Amino acid sequence: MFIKILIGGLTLGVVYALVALGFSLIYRASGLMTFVQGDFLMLGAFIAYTLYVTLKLPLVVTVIVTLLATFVIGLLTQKIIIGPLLKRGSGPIHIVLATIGLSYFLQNFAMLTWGTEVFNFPSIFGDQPLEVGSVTIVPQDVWIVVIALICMLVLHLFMTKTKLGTAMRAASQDKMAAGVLGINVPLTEGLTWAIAAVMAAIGGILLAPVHGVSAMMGVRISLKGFAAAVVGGYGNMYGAMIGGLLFGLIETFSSTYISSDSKDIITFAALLLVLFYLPTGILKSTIIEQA
Amino acid sequence: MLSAGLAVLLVCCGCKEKEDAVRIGFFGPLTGPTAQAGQALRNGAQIAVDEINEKGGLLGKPVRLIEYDDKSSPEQAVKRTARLVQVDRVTAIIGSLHSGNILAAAPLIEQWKTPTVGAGTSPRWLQQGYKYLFRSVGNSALSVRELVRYAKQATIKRICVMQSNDEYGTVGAKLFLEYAGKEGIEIVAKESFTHGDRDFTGQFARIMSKDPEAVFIWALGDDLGALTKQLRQAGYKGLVLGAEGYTLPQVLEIAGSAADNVIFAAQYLIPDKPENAEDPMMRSFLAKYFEKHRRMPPSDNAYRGYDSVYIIAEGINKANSPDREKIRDAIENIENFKGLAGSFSFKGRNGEGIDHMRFFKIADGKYTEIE
Repeated sequence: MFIKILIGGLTLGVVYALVALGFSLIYRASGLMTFVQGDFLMLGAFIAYTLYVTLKLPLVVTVIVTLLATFVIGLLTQKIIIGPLLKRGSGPIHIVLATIGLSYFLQNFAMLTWGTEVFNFPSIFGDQPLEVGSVTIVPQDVWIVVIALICMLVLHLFMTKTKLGTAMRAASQDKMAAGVLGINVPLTEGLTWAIAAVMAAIGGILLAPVHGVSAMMGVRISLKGFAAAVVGGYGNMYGAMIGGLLFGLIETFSSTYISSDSKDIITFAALLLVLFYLPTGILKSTIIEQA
Repeated sequence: MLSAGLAVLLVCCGCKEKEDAVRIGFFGPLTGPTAQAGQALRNGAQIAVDEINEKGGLLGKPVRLIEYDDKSSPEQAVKRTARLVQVDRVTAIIGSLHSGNILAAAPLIEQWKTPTVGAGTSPRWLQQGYKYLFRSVGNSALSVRELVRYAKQATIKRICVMQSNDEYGTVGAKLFLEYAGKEGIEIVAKESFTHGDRDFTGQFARIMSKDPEAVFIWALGDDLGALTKQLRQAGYKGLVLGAEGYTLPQVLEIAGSAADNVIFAAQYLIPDKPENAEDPMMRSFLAKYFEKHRRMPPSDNAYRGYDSVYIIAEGINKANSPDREKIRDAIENIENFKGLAGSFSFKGRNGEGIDHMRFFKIADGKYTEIE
């Protein structure tokens, strides 16, 4: 039973982590809070659904096109909404409102485009349980964990080993100095939103066969991803990963060993407790100095 | 110019006042997460209204359905009902499929003495002593009782409960515990989840650790597909005693073979095409539904809407008057009136009209009726 619950907890945890990563990346790059992460996840799932189920395109094409599409959507969000607002003198709180507005817009857009029901996404890696010894394991759960971890590793390598990643990190520390050094700051800002959207979309594609696809699928996950990002250390990439995994594990284990009736209460209480001992999260938060 | 505009306005107000039709109100979810079921309810009602109008209407007048969206929210339901009874002055109302919304609107309905036939299945809103409320479907207590009866006959002794922690799930699970307790069936675990949640690893791990002979799942239709699938993925192969929502074609589509060995009690099913309905009345209804909407109803609420209109029509015909109090008394006196759900008799039963259900079992992705 333990292994089954561990895998279940990790499956949830990696998806929370993918969403949390977006929150943290954006905060670190620009000190902004966003509330569209859950809706990027939902859009990713719906785009994949349209390509894979409705248009019957091959899986590889589906994944590539979906990720490209969400990359562009994330980029456009920054270029059309966030960037111009900042230029006109909007502060972080105005950006919060703008993203909440965008979130409602995307949910309603999805309802009008695809409908209000839950759509069934066929399993890619097999959803029939396998008996391994005394444990039953669902292959797709294992695959979700593996793929999500690989994506996080790729993100880590990109941010630390590539020129562009280094430029993004530099720009997030000091925009002006980075600009003086010849780093294309507007590009790195747009890129941050695009990567955040892609991370959420990966979560959406992974989750689609398990949860089904619906216009409201991102709402709950977004809240938990946000909590994971805060507890992990808001703005810290690795904190978001740890926070997400922790959240998924606490949620699943508490509903098994304590009570499923109060799963969410226990999980959030545990996270509060963590915050009391580590007020800025598990790993160091990157606090952006406001000029 | 202004006076001409005013004149047009006055004329129009005049024609609305004089519109000679029997107005039947409707409130239910037409947008939002349960919109599909709500639209099915409305579409079913509209087909009945069309049929009645083809045969000359009621009291010599055409029937018109005035519909409002309650957005699944009790607050909206109250606002919409207020408009129906105070502004539109409807003769009768077809109520939401959300029991909580009918409960919220009930005081207004009573105050304005407007006979209302609701589609929600929770027993509660007919247990408050309201005089103007009726139901066009069997209540969920009936379905739960039938499942307990089945479990007893199959000599099942250890059952786990999995319920949604909303009104529907809580009431159903409570009833199940009560009835099962009387029959000496042991409930070895009781788990719950939030409507819309999609991860049940913890709950099902606990259920598996109790090694039950059957699992009782009580939740609304949109959760059942995911629940059933994950229960099987957790390694459970045994019998599932399920909620009425297993009639939804969507559940079978999502759960696939995981839905095999599910048993549930309900009034009716939705066949894959109209010709496959056994009952001629249902066949004719489904043919009309399919012709109009180019698809089968996504929810059995279509049946409930259709029956609701005919119950109201029968009341109006029996009362032979637009007087709402007389219509209410006439509905109360309906006996052995045939609808899609079976035979309705309301006399002395606090608004309940149906007290029998059918058993269905899912095997190889298909429904079969069992005794």
